[in-house]
Amino acid sequence: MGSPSTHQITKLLRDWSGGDPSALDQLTPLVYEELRRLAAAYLRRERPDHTLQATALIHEAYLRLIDQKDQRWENRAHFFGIAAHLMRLILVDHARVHRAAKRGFGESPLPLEEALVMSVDRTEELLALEEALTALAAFDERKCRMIELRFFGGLGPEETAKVLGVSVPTVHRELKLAKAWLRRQLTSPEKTAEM
Amino acid sequence: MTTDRWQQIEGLFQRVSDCQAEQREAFLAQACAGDEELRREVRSLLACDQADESFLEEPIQCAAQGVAQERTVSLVGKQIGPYRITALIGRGGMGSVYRAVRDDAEYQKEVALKLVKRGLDSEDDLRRFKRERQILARLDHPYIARLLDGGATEEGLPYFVMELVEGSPITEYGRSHPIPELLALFRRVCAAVEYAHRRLIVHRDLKPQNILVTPEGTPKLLDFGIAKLLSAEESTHTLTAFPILTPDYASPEQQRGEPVTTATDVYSLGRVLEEVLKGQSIPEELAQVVQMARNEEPERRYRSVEQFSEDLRRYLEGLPVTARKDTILYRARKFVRRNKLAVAASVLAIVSLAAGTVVATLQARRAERRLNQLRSFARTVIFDKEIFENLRTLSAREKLISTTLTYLDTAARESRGNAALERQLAGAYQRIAAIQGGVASSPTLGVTDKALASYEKAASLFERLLARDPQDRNLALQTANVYNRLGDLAGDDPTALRHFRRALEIAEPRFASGNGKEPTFWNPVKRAYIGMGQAQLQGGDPRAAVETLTGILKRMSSHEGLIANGALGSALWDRGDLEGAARVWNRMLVDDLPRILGKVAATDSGAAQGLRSGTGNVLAGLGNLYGNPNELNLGDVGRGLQQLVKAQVLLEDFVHRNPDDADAGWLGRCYAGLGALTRDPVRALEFYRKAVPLLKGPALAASRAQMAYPLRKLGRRQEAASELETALEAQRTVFALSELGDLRLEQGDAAAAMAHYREAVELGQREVAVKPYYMPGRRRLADAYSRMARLHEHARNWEAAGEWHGKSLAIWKEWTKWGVSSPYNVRRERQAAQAVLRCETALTPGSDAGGKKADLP
Repeated sequence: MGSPSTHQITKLLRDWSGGDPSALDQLTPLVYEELRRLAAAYLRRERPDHTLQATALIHEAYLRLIDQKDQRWENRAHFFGIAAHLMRLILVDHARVHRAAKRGFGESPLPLEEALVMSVDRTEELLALEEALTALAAFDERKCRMIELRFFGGLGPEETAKVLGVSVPTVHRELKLAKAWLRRQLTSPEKTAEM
Repeated sequence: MTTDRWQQIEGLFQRVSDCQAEQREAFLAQACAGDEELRREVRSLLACDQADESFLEEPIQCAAQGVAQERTVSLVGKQIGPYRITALIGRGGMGSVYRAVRDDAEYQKEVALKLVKRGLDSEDDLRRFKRERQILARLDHPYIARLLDGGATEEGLPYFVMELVEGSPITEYGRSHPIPELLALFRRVCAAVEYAHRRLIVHRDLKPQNILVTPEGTPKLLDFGIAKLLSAEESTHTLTAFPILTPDYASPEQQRGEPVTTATDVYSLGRVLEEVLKGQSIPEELAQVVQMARNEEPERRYRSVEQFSEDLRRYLEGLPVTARKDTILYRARKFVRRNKLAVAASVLAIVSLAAGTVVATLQARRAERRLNQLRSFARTVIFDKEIFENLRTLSAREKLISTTLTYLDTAARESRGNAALERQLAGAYQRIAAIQGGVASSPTLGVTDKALASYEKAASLFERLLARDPQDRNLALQTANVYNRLGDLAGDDPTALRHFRRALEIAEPRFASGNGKEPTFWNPVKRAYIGMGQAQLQGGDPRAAVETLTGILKRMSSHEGLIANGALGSALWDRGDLEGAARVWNRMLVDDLPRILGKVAATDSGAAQGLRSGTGNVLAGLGNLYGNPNELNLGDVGRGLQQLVKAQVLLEDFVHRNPDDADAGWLGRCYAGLGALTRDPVRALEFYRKAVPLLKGPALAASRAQMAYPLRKLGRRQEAASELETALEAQRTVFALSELGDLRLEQGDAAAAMAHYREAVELGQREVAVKPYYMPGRRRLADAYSRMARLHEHARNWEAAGEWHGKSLAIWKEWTKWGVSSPYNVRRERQAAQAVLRCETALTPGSDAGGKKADLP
């Protein structure tokens, strides 16, 4: 199964940043598939007790998909911007499927190994986080993107600042409020964003 | 939220966070300038501003892990080597099988492509893999699916390309064909295996899913030698190879990790044939053949597949088979047991694999060993608090428990006569029951029933074992303990007594035979007597309770007797022996409790607290005993109040420190007592209002009914009526009925009053008949009679009034025939006699009280 060539991806990124919106449509499924593939391949190579970092996957995908000779920063920034968002989609999709599967058990007795797996299940927390992020984006899109880049994409403050075209102190300040808002939202769900 | 508002919040949030901590509040107040909502919003956000990011990181991390653990990304439409995947055929332990086509220009042929989950780790692995593949590629037999190609994907996952076989597992074919036809087909399978064996290739993983039958009826064996191909060097990689084997068909030696020979395939073929023939009625001779093929010990099996096949031919032709008869019976029995246990074992295998105990699982072949696993599984999963509590939802816990129970029940059915097994099972039931009894912190309906059912199962197993081996003291001890638990859980159900009696029957003679020097049996004896006393008390037989409790108290040292003395006081009270009860409880207060408290206070604060709450309970009991008009009492309201106030202080402190403790009920009773003893109806009501939320069951209903009295005194009749009706909905009691009658009479509804009193009388009579020694019941009945009498007095119907007072008087006169005398019944007898006299005087012609009789309903 061939991966898309690095040239292809790099070119698409360039096209997109050059103002061709259709490039993004072509780019998205390629990155998406690569992330999923990497995630699936991951455990086969690693020791079973090794913790998989979502953010490590994105960096790995970057190394595989982007022509490393291309040093232009904006390509890297665009790539991470897309990849972080896609990672969020992948994880949330997975969580939704997982939840549906769990509910589907219905009357049949829960197999033991299933019961064991459930002990580390944090699906609901992720889905709650997703809901909170969507709510946040409704009135502050940029903070939502910051969280996405920082936590789903694993970008540091400098990289985040570059991707969003803001200063590093701004990233620090805004992330601080975004995290506080999310924490409040997640610990007291009855408080909505409505005021 | 509007963007403007959010910007306002954000600006303020950032400015306030820049302030020194101590200046924040002032700054915030000033900046908000009366906009309370803004202040609240910013303040709550500041409170949530914490460095910890785990609430974001961890769920993301877990989800990433979950994605990675998904077996495989769908490969349909993808290219692997020169093959294009067209569809998924199935997924198994080893990996996934796809339908694929070779996309070369030369020929387009559909194939099966098997992608293996596990990677090949080293260069050596890869070389060996290639070599083996070449050997397998030379297998050329009409009944063996050909290995066409193989390789590794980009990620290093091996794949095999095989002839695509359209067919169904041989077991499905078996359902619709008669035995001779099945055997003929099976012999063709044998021929294929034989062919491979002659080329020194062992299949190693023969199972129905690997033996397909095409629609034309041709058998096709899949995956020949692939298990070997993947297992690498036996010595180092055996364990990783194991999970791909199918325990139902893998031979015992294979599961033990011993070298695999052609005998392994003989065993698996035997198992497969057994499955194929399942549901048919198998003649004994054929059963012998199958049995010999699947013998546990390789040397007792057919020496080759050829011999196995040959014996099948002899059977088909009606010739005597070579399978030896003598082992049949023993083996067959063992087999049946094995198979039923296999269900449990395979699940255990999964769990144990996860727990990293692969070796133990696979090597433990004997049923006893399986039970051990079951136990250790139960220990690790259910009895390990951490794991169990990690199953956050109650339903997950319940499912785990019910699954375990299912396996235990299966094992129990198969273990009859096997003492060692039964014993372990009984222990397992006992532990499950303990969990069930303790699953919910506030026992919900049905929880106790489930725990009872498990204890009953444990008890019946223990009984069977004990009957067989009455000398086993350990066994006897466990059995007695189970009965004591059963008794505890049964509560006030009459079965409780039976359980405690059985515990005694077991424990008492064994305690005695140790010349009283057998401390291990002393505990169950003690527990059973105290439990019995409490059950008798709750069941309304204080006479028996007093007997039981005094009996055991004589045998106990003073420091052991707290619970028994507490219960004895209550039992004496219910007997009518109010002075005796006061004596017991006062002795506890001035002697036992302080002495024990003095001993433990320094070392064990938990126990000290418990003892203080115990002191509170005794004080509350004494307070009510001295002065609560709703109980049999000593008529000393002042002393009663004094004790109750002391109790209140101790119990409030205890409940404050242990908010979840069941002892809150004692504080409730204490408040209710204070409500009853307090003359001021407003204050009395306050106490009752505090009592109500702490009480439940009969105590709650009683407290609500008692509350009606101060309400009536305050003229709040509507509320009084509603409290009484609520109480009566929960439980019909003589007291509440009498009170409601009083209220109706006060409201001028004599007919309603009469109806309530009449019901009270009937109920009281029934209760006295059932619980003749429960003196509070007699007192309530006397009260009900007196009310009837007063109703008639009210109507100037002196004759009837005199009769009812007479009934009441009879109760007091006969008091000592059933119970024990105290100042209370003496006083009540005097009052009743005066009332009778009053009515008789009124009846005397010329008396002032005569006058005109009113009509009564």
